[in-house]
Amino acid sequence: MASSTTGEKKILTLKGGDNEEFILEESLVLQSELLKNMVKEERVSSIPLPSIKSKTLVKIIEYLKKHAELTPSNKEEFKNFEKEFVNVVLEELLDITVAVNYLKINGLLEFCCQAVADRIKDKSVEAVRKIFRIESDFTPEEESEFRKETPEAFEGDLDDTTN
Amino acid sequence: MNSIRYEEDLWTEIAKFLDGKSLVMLSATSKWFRRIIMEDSIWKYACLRDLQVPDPGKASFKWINLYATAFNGCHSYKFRQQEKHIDWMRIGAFSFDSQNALLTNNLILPLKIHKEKTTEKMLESNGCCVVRNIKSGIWIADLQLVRCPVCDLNTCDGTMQVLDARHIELFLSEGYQDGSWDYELLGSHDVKKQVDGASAGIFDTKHLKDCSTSAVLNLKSWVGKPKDWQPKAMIAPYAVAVNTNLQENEGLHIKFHTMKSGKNGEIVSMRICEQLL
Repeated sequence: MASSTTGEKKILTLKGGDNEEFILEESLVLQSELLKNMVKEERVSSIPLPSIKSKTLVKIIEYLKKHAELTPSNKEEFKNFEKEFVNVVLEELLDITVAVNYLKINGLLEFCCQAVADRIKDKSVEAVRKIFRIESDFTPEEESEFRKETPEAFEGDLDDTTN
Repeated sequence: MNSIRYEEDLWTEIAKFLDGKSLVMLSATSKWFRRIIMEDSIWKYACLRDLQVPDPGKASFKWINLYATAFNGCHSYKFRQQEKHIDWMRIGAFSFDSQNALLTNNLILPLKIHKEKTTEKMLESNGCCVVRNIKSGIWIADLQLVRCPVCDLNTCDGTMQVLDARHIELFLSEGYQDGSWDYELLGSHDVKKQVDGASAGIFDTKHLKDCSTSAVLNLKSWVGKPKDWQPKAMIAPYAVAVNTNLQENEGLHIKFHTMKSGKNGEIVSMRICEQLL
């Protein structure tokens, strides 16, 4: 889906957090609202993204390529790709989700959020605290009140592994 | 892990995919999460999503409370006449766009209404009437199976099927909670011959001609096959209907009830009760 009208494809370099460089067609990054605005406002040829790990960026670029190739005839294949795309350890999924949110890739953001929700929905309060390293800042009284009012929230899966 | 912990927008987005129980779980993890998850907009989203209804605009109560009364297993026989209750099933939610409802125990087209002087007369002769001054917005429909009210019919086999619909705010309303609002008999209708099924429907009159409403009246698509005695229900954006196939019988006695929010208030609940003669 090269969108170049001059016949020459514009090239852009993305620089990941660990200074690894990724060279790709500019048309691909236009799927990101953030990068689209950057490219349009000033004619940049290299964009540093220090907050995004290279590993995460590789995954996102993989998605952008697949999405750009999406046609009505390979819809099924794309759906399977999406499923596999989020089938990673939770830590990696969260990195991707945060990056996608930052880059504003809307369709993918929704899909990632759904995947995160699916991973935590049946967990217990304790498990979610451990997974996200959340310290409870409720008083013991508040805590026991929650337990009394909504015991079901504490009954969920205690499994706090992040696979 | 730490990168996502305090991303407010992101959690609001993730919350769109969580049900009430998971939202409560998340809100109990810390004060920060509690503040994010207790936003009314989060619960409004969850409520409309899980009830599959459009936004009714304003609501008089917090959406978390509306969500709770819609999904915590409460139904109208839990408050009163509990001893009569046998079983129930949630049909779903629909909306009243206009303030007029068509109540009927006959789902066979055409739905004909012979004009009579009073609603009572109309029900008596047609088993069908238009009720005005309905509270618009989201309505929740349940199918109830209850013990038949004390009656002097020796033939009564003891159970009654009730199509029970209520405005989503009913259970939170003070007048309902303190018992000052109650069901009033609008009228009744007898069918004194064998009937194949006990059916009932509630329709928003403004949307009678909608495609989705037509699907409710296309009985073949949803009622049980002969000898399937399970109750069946069908819900559409502006209509709800039920049908239970009946064994050999001598007819049906149907009562229509409405509940008003105070003396000249809007109608906030309706019931179509059917028992064998």
